[in-house]
Amino acid sequence: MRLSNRLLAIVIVTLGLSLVAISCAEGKGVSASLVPSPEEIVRGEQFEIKVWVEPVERGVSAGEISVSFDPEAMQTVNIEPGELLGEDPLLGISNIDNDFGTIRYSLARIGETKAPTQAAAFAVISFQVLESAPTGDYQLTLTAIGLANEDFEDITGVKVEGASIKISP
Amino acid sequence: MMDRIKIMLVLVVLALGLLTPGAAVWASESLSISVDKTIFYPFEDIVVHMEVTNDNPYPVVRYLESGVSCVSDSFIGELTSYQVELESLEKKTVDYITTVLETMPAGEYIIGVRLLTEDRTEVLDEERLSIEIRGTKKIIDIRLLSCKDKLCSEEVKVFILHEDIYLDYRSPVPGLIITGVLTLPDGSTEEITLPTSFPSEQIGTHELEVAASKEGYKTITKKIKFSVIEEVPQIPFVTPRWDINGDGIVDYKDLAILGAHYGETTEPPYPRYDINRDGEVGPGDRDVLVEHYGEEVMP
Repeated sequence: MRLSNRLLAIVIVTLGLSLVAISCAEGKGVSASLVPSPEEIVRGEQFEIKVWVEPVERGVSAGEISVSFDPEAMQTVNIEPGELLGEDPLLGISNIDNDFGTIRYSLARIGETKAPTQAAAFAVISFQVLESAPTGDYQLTLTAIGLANEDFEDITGVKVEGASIKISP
Repeated sequence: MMDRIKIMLVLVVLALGLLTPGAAVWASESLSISVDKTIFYPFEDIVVHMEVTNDNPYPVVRYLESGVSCVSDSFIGELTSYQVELESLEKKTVDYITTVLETMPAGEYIIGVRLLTEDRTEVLDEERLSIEIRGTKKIIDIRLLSCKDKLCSEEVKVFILHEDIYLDYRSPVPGLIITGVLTLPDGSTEEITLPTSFPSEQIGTHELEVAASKEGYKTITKKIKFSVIEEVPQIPFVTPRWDINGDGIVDYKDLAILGAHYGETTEPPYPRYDINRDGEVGPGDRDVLVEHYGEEVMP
């Protein structure tokens, strides 16, 4: 009877450790985040947002992002590729809507993709803070991201993180 | 002296008015209509006497437009036109004759006649009278259906061999007596009533002829044809070339494939990533892909 209890305890502990291990593996998944620079901006000035991608062990051959912002406070002035997909990636779509405050942008690497891809910016977006922008904190949201791996298949489970900036007088 | 001149002027104006056709302010024509009786039965002629009087001191050309319409139904007979030439102060009678059809709904009818100017732009007079039509039969409005299910949610004309065929009808007239004859491709016939269903067992064209009847309605026959085939020809769906990976959506994964081969040269048969098949994977292919970016291309 005691032996059975011990076996049961061993099984439970083993299962528990396995779950922890699985959780840790998921925690090391691909992530994408918006990184503003600077984080506090004066009215009328420009700032940049990097769409930063951590591929971990994956290769990234292409991607598409959708970003939303408050068009009453800021306007997109430029978007250009980062270094994630090489020096001169192939541009897909680049749709900026400053009325609705949305950006949709896609890029692909030219040539072969080898895993892993180093963490880098997928895109760099420049914003102009409006003179009329009310002061305060503003959210920039990465509303969608799709990434294709070295075999041109979807990378699933990408963790997404937005950003907040502060507009001061 | 001045009074005499005024009187002379008035007389001249009056004389001009009498001699100038169409300009006379008191010139007129009138219309009256009549029928010999007011109750009509199928196949009888309705004779409408249209009397036109020209009260003008000059000849005129006029048009008469006549028609019959049912008061309680949407039935409207065709309009008939007559040209009438009238000398000054002449009276003419023209007869408008129309036959009572068996299919005209029974009930009260209005006969309308309009007197029009020569160019038919102005109505000078209008007359109406009422008659009654009895003993006619209403028309049955019926639509035959061949379907794949009992509720006839999908009406089809082509069935696959051994598939169940459902035959039914739709009509706004309730309580119809339906008899039908189904002629099979081998020429044999079966008497049926609707709704009915049966498994298709013969390849070829089937014909359904249905007679629908009801008291007070004219019996009507209708036919439909439908076919039975051995199998549906399978045409594989091939997504457009700009959906390079063929997953049904044009997106960054297609862009990834294009990017991987960007700058390459290709030969016939051109790979899908050479979208425009010009032998080079380049800006032309990218432009086509971007033009269709975001499209869903599944059948």
